[in-house]
Parts: sequence; C-alpha cells; structure tokens
Amino acid sequence: MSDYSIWVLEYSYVTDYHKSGVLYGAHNQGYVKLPYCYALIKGKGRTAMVDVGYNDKDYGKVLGDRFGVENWRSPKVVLGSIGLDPADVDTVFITHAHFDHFGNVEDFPKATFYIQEREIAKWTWAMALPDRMRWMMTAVDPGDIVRGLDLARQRRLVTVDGARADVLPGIDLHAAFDSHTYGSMWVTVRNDGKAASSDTWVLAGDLVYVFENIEGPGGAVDVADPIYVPVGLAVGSQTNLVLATEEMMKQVGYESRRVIPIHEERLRDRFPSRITEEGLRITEICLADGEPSRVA
Amino acid sequence: MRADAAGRALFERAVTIHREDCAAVAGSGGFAASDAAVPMETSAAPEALVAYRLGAAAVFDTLRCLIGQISGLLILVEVSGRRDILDLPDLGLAGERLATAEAAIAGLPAPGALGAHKARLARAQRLVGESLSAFARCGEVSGGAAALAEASERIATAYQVLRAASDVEAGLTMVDFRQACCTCASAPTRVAGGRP
Repeated sequence: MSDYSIWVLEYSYVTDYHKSGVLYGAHNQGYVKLPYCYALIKGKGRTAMVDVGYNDKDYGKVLGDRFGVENWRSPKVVLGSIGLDPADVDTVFITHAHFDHFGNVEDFPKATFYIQEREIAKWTWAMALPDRMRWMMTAVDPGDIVRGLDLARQRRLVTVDGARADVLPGIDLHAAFDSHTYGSMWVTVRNDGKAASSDTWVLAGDLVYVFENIEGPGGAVDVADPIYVPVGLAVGSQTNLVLATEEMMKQVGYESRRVIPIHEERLRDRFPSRITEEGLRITEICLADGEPSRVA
Repeated sequence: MRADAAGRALFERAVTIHREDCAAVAGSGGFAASDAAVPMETSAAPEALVAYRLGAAAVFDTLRCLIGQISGLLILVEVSGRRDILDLPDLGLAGERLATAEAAIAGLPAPGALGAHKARLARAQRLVGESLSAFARCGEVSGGAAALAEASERIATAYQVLRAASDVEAGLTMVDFRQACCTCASAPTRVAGGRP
C-alpha cells in the first residue's frame, strides 16, 4: 500500500556541464547533461512540491547565454504534462535557497512554503559580510528573500528548526546544516505511513546531485567498494555532506535507489520515464494506490 | 573614439525612458539591458564611462546585499514574532554600510544621461534607509506592526528600483552566478540563440 505518488519533473537543462561540478574531485573528466528538476508528491488529498525552480523572466537570458541552460518551461507547462496545475499545489518544501530551487515562488499562489530557519538566518548573515567574503553568498538572489518576506507576511512561509516529522502525514523534513548550504534539508516520504517504514523515499535536494555521490568510485582511497563522494559545491563542508548521505541511506535501509538525486539524468534508466513534447523528462518514482501512471 | 562596450550598454539602458516601477521594465526583467547592447555614439569619454561603471557596481553590490540582509531579518521577525532581533548589531552595521553607499553615490560622477541611472541608485539607497528606519520602530508597543509593514514595503520597492538599475553586461546583476550550484564555473557552451 502506497500513500503517495512521486514524480521528478525536468523544467530545463544544461547539455554540457563539467563533471567536477557534480562530483567532488572529478577534474578533467568531461561533461554530463545536468537536468534542472523539481519533484512533485501527490496523495492523501495533498499536492506538494520539493523546490520550485527559477523564474526565466529574471534569469533566463543570462543563464542561457552564459551557461548554456536550455529549454526552460514554466510550472504551468511542466505540471500540465502530468495533468496538474501550479494552483493545485498546497505545500512546497524548499530544500535550500539557491535561485534555481527557491526562485519561482510566485507561480504557486496557493502553497505554504517550508524552509529551514537557519537557511534564512545564515544567508542573511552572509549578506552582511564584507565584499571580500562574497563567495559565501553566491547563487542567492536577494529578490528571492524579498519574495520570501512577502510569503511570510501572507502567513505562507513556515520556518523549521531542524527535523520535523509528519509535516504532511508520513512526510518528514530533515536538516543538513552547513553542508551544500547553511540550512539545506531533505524530504523523507514514508510511503506506508509507518514510523518504521519499509517503503521510504528520500528527496535529496542538492545534497546528492548524481548516483556517484552515493555509489562513487572508491579507487581514489584504495577501496574496492563504492563510497560516498560528495558534491563539489558546499558553503558548509563535504564532511557534512557525507554525514547527511549516511543519514539518508540509513533511512532507506541502504537501498540507494530510494535516495532521489534530482539533477541525475540517469534517473530515466532506473525508473519509468517519458519525454514530453517539449523535450523534457518526467520520471515516475512511485505511484499511490489507484493513481494512474503519467509515463505509460 | 570607441567607448567601452559594457559602458555603452549601461549608457543605453540608462537613457531609456522608463520609470523604475514601469511595467515594461518589471516585465522584461533585470537583464533586459543586454538586449539593448547596441553600440552607440556618446559624448562621454570612455574613461568616464568605465569609472562610472566601476563606482556604480560597488554601490549596486552594497545595496543588493543590504536588501537581502534586511529582508532576511524581517522574515525572521515576521515568522518568529521575536523583536529581540532588533537588539542584534546587524541593524546598526547595516546603517553604517548604507551611509557608506550614500557617500559613494554622492561622490560618483555620472557623465551625461547616466545621471538617470545614478538617480535610481540614489532612490534605492533612500528606500533602504526608510526601511531600516521603520524596522527600528517595529519593537514599539504601539505601531510596531505598522512599522514592520512599512519596512517590508520599502525594502520590496528598493529591490524593484535596484532591479531596474541592473545590467548584466556592466556586471550589475541581482545574482552572482559565478559559483551557482548548477552553473558553477561553467564555461559558456552556447551563445544567444541556443535556446528555443
């Protein structure tokens, strides 16, 4: 019995992204396609998103011209491809405040947003630092914080301090402080609703970019078995990323396929997927009882 | 004499007649100036354009950070109801940075029509100041909620004004993408036209 359906929805992508960006230490190892995605969770009468992407109106031209980001589509189009509308979304979990995860709150007019309080507080602190330390506030748009303030004034922003269970029934939030960002979090779906679930999915945000972050090459440290290799970018530390990965893996009983990296193109090889007429991928992670497939 | 390309782009944007709250500006986004980066003759010397660009970039960056910082503090007050955030040194430090920005704007020579751009920076700076002043009053027993609302409204307007003064070619951008999580250090793989 499964309570929720989960889809990973691609809304844009970079065709040639250097591998070292997604895998710590993978220098001079070529390029990979990097999809930009968010996740949608539907069940028990609720529709939730994990992150909301970015707003092409604000960033599209510079991302397209300078970084090769292609084929951005609005949530209206992307969610429409599975028969939903952004106005259907009642809950959004923001894994972290980078522009490509927190940059499009305006397109979800009825949702309540959850974010770690530390994510707000520490970015606020970073913005007060001298210019010579500005590396510590990269990829954050002050405009997203301004829009976050608007959400707060509408009572649609909830800040969370650490872990919180059952934000929605069977859905928990977990913090990974000082890792990819200061207050990153991941979302755990206990899909049978049980406290000790045997049907758990982890939506990892940017704590895990690709499969190799979980099943990386151990040769670099003379280990034959796969090891955790953290993502490259961390304003916190790679150590904290590895510790968070261990915690996520523990939650899924060390069944690595249940930790979902949304920037991973090869999700299509592990889960049923289809490409929409806009050339974007829909990956169906699991289906709730009675829910029709969107990729069949 | 050939003027610096980015300086010309900024000039082009600055002389475009739009109020900062104009829907055409808001609708086209902060990076619209790049679309208009068409070489044009200007009476301003290239050295003056470059000097303005560098000075404006420093002010822009300071204001950008202040807007993010104050908005973040306002969120924390709004969602937690904790007025003791007012006791943190952050607001005082923000005031000091704002004073630095004000002095920098005052000393920024703006050749020709770049005065319009400078006026936007000055207006954004004033709005940030008004937000800070209102923020300082939000701990008052009477009128605290109204002050919080005023501080929020002013900082949102300051963001819009500053956004209207942004120009990617001149390095005045609302987001520093150089280390962005999904674009960090990525070399350009395409030029304009590569997107559908």
